[in-house]
Amino acid sequence: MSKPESVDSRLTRRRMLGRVAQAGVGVALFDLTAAALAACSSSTATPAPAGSQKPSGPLKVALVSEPTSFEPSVEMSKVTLVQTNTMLETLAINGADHVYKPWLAESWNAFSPTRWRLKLKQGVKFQNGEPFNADAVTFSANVWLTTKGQAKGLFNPVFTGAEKVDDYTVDLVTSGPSSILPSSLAFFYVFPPKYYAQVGPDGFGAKPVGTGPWRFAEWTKGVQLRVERNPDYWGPKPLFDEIDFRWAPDASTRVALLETGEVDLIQSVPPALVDRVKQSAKAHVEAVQSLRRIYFQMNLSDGPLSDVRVRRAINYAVDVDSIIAGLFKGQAYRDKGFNDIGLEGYQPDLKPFTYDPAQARKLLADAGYPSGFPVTLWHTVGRYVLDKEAAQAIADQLGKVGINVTLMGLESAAYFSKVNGERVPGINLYSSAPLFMNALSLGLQAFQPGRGSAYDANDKTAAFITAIIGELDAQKRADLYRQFENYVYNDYVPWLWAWHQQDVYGASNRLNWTARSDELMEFTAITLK
Amino acid sequence: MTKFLARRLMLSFVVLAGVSFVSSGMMLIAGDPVEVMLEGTTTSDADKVALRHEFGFDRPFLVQYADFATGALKGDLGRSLRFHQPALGIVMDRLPATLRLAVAAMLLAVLVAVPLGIVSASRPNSWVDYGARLLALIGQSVPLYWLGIVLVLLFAVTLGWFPSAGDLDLKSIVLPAFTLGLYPTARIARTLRASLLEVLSREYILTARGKGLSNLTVLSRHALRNAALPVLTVVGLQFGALLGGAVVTETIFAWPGLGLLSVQAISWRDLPLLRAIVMVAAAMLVTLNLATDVLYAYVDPRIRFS
Repeated sequence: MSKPESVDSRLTRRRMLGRVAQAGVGVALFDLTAAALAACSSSTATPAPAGSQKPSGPLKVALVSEPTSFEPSVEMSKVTLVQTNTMLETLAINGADHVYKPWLAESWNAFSPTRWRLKLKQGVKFQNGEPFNADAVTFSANVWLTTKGQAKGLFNPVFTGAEKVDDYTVDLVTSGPSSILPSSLAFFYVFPPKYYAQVGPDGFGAKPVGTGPWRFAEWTKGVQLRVERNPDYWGPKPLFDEIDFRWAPDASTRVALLETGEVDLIQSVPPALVDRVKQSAKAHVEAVQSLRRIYFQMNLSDGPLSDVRVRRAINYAVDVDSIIAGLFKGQAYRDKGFNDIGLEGYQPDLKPFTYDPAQARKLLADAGYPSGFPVTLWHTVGRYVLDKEAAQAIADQLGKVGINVTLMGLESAAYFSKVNGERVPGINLYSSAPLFMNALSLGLQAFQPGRGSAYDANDKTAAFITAIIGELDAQKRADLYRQFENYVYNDYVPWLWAWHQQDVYGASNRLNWTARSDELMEFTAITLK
Repeated sequence: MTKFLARRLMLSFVVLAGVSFVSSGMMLIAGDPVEVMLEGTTTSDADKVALRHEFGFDRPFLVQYADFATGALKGDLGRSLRFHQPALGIVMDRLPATLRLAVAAMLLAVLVAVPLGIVSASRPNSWVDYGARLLALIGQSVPLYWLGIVLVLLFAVTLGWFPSAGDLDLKSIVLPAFTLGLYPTARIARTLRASLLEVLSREYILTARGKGLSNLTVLSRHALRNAALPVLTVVGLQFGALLGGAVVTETIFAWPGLGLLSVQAISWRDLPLLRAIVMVAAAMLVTLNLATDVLYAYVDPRIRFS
């Protein structure tokens, strides 16, 4: 190697190192040094003036995952709606008691079998100044009917179109009498026509404009969403001028954020971390029975499960109460029927199946299976709280009456693909939470033919659904719901009834805040202690 | 050198093609994306069929892969199912946060590991050496997840010195950088110690000492330069490991980078997005390895001409 080449090579090395240093190291060094210096200055805790009635800073909330869009027809998961609901509003609203009531629509009535007339609230403006009126509602109806997002097909069974009558009156057109329309209005978000048309669903999802108590301020991807008070809000003024949402998928991170006072509210505290929150000096636990139910569908098409006595036997053979007490440490609730407290036709007197293995054995013998039979139980792994462990416990208990269970646990992506796509034989775990506050919201999924998840649809369930949708008299409808539920629970028995989840939140001790059972979070009614 | 570079570049391309094929195959066996995308909704089977067609999931695998590969060559890594946006754009939005964290962690590692390695090697089997080796052992053994949680409990919850999560201010990077940087610190310190010890036993070092050079001069001018070669490789490789470690670290600290995004993509079952993350991470790793090879070739002429 010649000398000049060697010199050149040394210089190149130096130049390269210099460039590397310029490229990124300098930035990181600055970050680290500045961070270390800043660390000496102060703590990050949110000041919480005890006894003060006016908060000194924003309400800070840590949720499980970051939204991808605040356009509710595109992204309608509950965790996203928690945030969307601060900015956007619906025609009706669901109370914490599951009873829906008028909101942006002041009243509605079915004045013909195919038309519901809605009277809209006057004097409401979108946060960009556009008026809320019939044009906004007809435009929004079209968005809902034509969306390609997650809500694709959601409203199509509810109404077929919208027509403006005058500036504050709209007719929603249905294909026949539709009793589920009013409860569905609580999911009918209203969009400002000019702005939405200008930016499209993607633009709207990134920077939403609604009529809600807070308005969009800033979304720093991956870091936080800030919403600030809407000064022109038509309704009751909320306490907080600002809400900051942050996202932490790891439960222990959320709990740490709460413990340090960096946030005031967190969702989804797992059973293992509940005591840590309880022991914290700054926060407490808010738990509520969730509307979300876990149940086990049975494929009734052939084999032993086609016999209703076998299906009853399975319900008698599983000691759900002991699973709740032992596995869930009491943090779940026994389920029965398919209706829920607060919804039309709910039957408080419906009793859960009792644990009775002797009765289970007798029913199996009557059905011609005195020594049991083999069956496959499909379940998710890690999708729902303790799903795998619960499936194991059920398999063990069924084994005691001679039903030999083969467990098939799958990661949820593969699971729903398999279970919804193929109608798997045997028993499969399923979960549901009603989106609209009517019992049909669940019925549509489980008992309406034409859906892959509807293992239990038959002519009778389809007829009940049609009858309930067509019945506009509330009393008669409630009676139909009861008949439908009694048929499903007492005569048809298509499920192994299991439990409702418990939703656990962590809340700062400075707040008066109550958890809701529908996985949404209410911020307008918060007060300070 | 040109031949060397051309060979390395070609190999890098083959690796990336392999990664794209395997990650696309994984999508195939992970289930129907439309089914999981609509989990919990009451979408009818007919609408699902339409969506499958719209996204092209109803085509044969090889057709889908060919489509993806052609797009990838033009910088199109498909569309995210959840964001309804080009996946590459989303990944590139999150990349700077991960790079910032990785560079901070590596900087921390080098700043701590190099003095530790030198002190350890210059006084082998002394109490300083034992201490440094014990530290290195702990650093390599402690699981990231545990370390992150312990650091949060100590420095955020108990002492209140640093935020427990997020990327809201400058202080936010300290705990995640320390968590991510501990393993490479240990690895680099151990490698440097071993390499230095080996170099220090060479004859030219004896000659240098024989000439009466001070210990510092021998170390800094003669030993350290030659001992740095394996360390350079380790630093390059550790950058790759940092990307892997970022998945856990970013999740614990809610750090808005690629690691957290990949965990979320898995939980959303957004497989096209996950594939884009894998592709970008693979491209970075390949580039880093290439850069390390080139740097190595510059530092050690034997590599260039072999």
